[in-house]
Amino acid sequence: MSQAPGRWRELIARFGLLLALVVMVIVLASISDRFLTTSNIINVLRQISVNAIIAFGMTVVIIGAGIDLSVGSLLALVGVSAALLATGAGLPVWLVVVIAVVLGLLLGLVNGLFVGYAGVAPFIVTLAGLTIFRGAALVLTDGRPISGLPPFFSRLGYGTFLGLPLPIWIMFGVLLLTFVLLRHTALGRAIYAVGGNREAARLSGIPVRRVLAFTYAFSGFATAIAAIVLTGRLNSAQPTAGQAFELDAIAAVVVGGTSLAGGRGGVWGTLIGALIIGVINNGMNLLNVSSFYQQIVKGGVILAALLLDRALSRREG
Amino acid sequence: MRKLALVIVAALVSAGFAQTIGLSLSTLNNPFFVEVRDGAQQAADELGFELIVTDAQDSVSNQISNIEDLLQRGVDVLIVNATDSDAVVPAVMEANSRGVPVIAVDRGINGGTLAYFIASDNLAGGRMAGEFICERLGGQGAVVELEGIPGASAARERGQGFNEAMAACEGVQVVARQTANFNRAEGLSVMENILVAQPEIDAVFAHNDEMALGALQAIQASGRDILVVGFDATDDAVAAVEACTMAATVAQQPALLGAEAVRAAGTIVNEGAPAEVQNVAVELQLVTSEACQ
Amino acid sequence: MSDPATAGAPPAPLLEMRNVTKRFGAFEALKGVDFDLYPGEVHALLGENGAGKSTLMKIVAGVQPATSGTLRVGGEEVAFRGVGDAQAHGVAMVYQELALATDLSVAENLFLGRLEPFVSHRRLAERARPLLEQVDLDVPPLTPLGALAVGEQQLVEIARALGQERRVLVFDEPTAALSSAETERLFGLIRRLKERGVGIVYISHRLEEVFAIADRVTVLRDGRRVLTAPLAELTPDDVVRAMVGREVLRFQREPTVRAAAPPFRFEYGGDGLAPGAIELRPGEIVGAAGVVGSGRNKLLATLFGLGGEARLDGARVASPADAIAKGMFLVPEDRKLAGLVLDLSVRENLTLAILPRLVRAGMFLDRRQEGQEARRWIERLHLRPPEPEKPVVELSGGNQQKVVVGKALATGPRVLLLDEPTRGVDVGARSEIYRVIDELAREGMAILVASSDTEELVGLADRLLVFRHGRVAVELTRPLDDKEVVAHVTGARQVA
Repeated sequence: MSQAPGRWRELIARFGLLLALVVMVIVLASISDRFLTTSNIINVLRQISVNAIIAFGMTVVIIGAGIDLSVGSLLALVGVSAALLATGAGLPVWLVVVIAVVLGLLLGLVNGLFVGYAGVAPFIVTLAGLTIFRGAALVLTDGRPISGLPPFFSRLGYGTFLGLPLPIWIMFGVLLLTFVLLRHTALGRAIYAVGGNREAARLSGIPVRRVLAFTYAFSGFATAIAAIVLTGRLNSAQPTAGQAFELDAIAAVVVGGTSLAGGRGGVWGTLIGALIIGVINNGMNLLNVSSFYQQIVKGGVILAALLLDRALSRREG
Repeated sequence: MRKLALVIVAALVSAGFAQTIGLSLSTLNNPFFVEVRDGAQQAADELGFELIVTDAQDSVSNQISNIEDLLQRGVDVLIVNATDSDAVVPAVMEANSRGVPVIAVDRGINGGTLAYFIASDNLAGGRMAGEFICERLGGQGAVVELEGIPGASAARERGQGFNEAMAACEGVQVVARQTANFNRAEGLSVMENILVAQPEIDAVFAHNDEMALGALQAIQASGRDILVVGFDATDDAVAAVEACTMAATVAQQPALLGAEAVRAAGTIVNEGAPAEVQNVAVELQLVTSEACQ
Repeated sequence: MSDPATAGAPPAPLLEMRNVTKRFGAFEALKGVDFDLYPGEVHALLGENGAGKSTLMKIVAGVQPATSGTLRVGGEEVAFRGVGDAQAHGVAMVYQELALATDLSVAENLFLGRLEPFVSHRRLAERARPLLEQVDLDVPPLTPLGALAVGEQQLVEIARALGQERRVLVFDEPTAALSSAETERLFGLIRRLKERGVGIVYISHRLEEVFAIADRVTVLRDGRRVLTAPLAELTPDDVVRAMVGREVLRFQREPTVRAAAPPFRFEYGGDGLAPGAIELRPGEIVGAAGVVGSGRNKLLATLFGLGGEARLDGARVASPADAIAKGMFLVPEDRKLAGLVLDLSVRENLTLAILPRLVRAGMFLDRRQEGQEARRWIERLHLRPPEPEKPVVELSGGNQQKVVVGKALATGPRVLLLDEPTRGVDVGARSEIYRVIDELAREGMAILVASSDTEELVGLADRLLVFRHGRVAVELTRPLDDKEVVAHVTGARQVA
């Protein structure tokens, strides 16, 4: 039996997933000579940025043994709020961004307070959030998209820094932030403990309710950042944006090896999960796969990646 | 004398109890249907009808309960914009059995008895877009088609019309055909991917404007010069056409769809339901900008 | 082969295992073990954790197949394909870990897996009653199982195993959660089963029980059989020597010299506890005895802010976090449910309660200090293996319990509350835990131990509070005597 320390153990467990990704990349590269080009790799990273940022927040919630179904709607609400403030109210852009992020954080916190303090099941609380936030986004915009944004947004969506598009930098920024939170802070450890065994955490003096509330606030925060990135990418905000994004985010988290039961997993796995999903979408577009087959292929590849991962990590012990 | 009495009674009835029309929409989560509602509301106001609007949020079961609710409230005519052409059939038959005439708008219904079917001619619209692209490219070039939700009737019909026009236009090839689910964010990422895969693209036809606008973002970011044609003529798309970034959009006239449906309801109230279903094809127009050519 | 315990001509064995081996990958859990069981016999199976007891019995109960060797039941060679298959041959097992659904009723649990599609609750309750009577459990059959005390739940588990005609019953530590009175009831039941000719395998860590109820004993060590003999020919020391291969004396602690420091004064009440007060002196170990439901465990929970009302030196204890801030720590009864986060490593569990102390710059964990802290407790508690990064789920029960104790000690409590500190723990780990408790008292910690194990309390405590019906019935001081304690606990001796 290998006595690898925690980080190595995690790497080994993630190895299967990485292998699945590598296999996909090799297969796609051998079919399409366009796939493994620098510009397409950047393209894939940029495309997964929004889903990955949401999924990082979702990872934190799921490690705490929760679930956040409201992220797609929250993304729309934060996006249109920011767009309205930037166009209608004429606020300076930096202030708009700050308000949007705080709004996401607070709405996430509301979810968290219901889960942590009122003890309502996360599934129900965030399902309510899903419909309420969507409704609020529609009310604010009367169902219409908002465009004519200040140039800041398209610069955010399409600008580059050191040759890489800004959304990718932002994605890695949130990744790093989440990683440090989970692995290098007391709060992060508390999240694993609460997700793994709530009662043991409570008896160890961990403020369980506050920790739970925080995870949802963090998810709201990440979603707000994703909302600003998406608004930049589309140079407009739609009240209908982000439908079913919660499912893509959960898929990335779970494909990335985080346990839905809580207490186990990490944010690097989620990045790989988001990459796998992104590479599938990109590959099918490149290969011009008929839209009817795409959904079957996508589901099949996700299942195959999970099976490969399980098979490998079991052998590793 | 009897005739006079009837007229008086009718006048009293219509003054005391305005005719009520139910409008069951598939969704209000889409600007297009918001305009359908606005057009219907305006026509109803003009004709002095009370209009009750329900939103099924794209859910078949919601729509069935919405229709049941409308029937409970005793609407005189029911206008249905189906979420699914088959699934609403039982609800329509329920309306038939209560003697409430049914008008289908935008999407057809595959059963029950309809009085009117009011729809844009999607097939003609797709063909219109295809012919426009063929002409603008001078009968030579590579075209990308962004499809709507797989299996949706609008996607099928627009695609069919467009591809008929493409088949007739020999020098133009459709080099990629991918779905972006009528969604702007997907239009963006799918177009980005296609731009990577296809070195030569001269034009894009998207089954709706949301996808077209997403694709436009991708094309502008790539710096390539590609003709974009959308469908629906939403405000954003019309603005893009006026700004010469989009070449054209096919204008369905959602407000007109809603208004025509209410006017048909008015006809039923005054003259009774027609013996068999009347198809009303609401015109489409190609929105382009002369200034840009 | 020695004579079976039953009288008359030697009957055929009910259960016969020859040269059974079991491999898990490269690890050989059983190395050619022989085992047999006769009708009407109670055959104790002993060994330290990891000796192979559970592995052997899982083969008998059809949970897993043997790698090689033969298994005969009633003379017929069998290879069970599953638990159901074993049950069809009349073999069943009562598990140490409760395998019941707490939200379902007692009756539903009794027939779980054998429920017919349409059965009325009343009919189910009727069918449940005789089973509950067999184990002397007087509860309405439609009570949700979760409403019962742990000991009572264990009796339901036993009643469930009795549900069908059995020839062989395996009890895996059946008394771990039982009070002495409940244990007596269980023994009565086992004797009745014996009379009916049922063969019983009895796994336990408690020697006094084994000597009280069993006819023969088999001791396993490191996957080998080291002893099979009638108990009448053995002394407890013989058995312990066979188990550990060395001499282990019964733990008896020297009383600690009382520190001059003032006592901690607790007042408590509510949630089924009569209002009362206790004083704990630094350096003193106080025991809390009593049957399940007597209030001995509830006292600890209440003092730790988990219900009821408690004050320490006049200040209210509002929550566990508050209790910890006031210098207390509780080692809970059920380590898997409340003591450990099984997904986390040994290090992460050990430092779980002292995270605020390991924080630098407002939020970041000082990983080096955390590592030092973890290694310190691993060494002090002789944790095996001494690896901080091992997931705690991979440790043996005894070592898991050491982690729970280490987590508590890391907080540096002035008052340590221990609820069943050695439940389900092997002899070796148990004596280490006793040693540490003793050391802590010498260092001046005030310790309150609640336990259903009289021998443990007598060995550890300076003072013993015996609980009955939610109040302290009597307070006993050294020298303590096992028999006297049991008499008070069971209510055989009432003190006016």
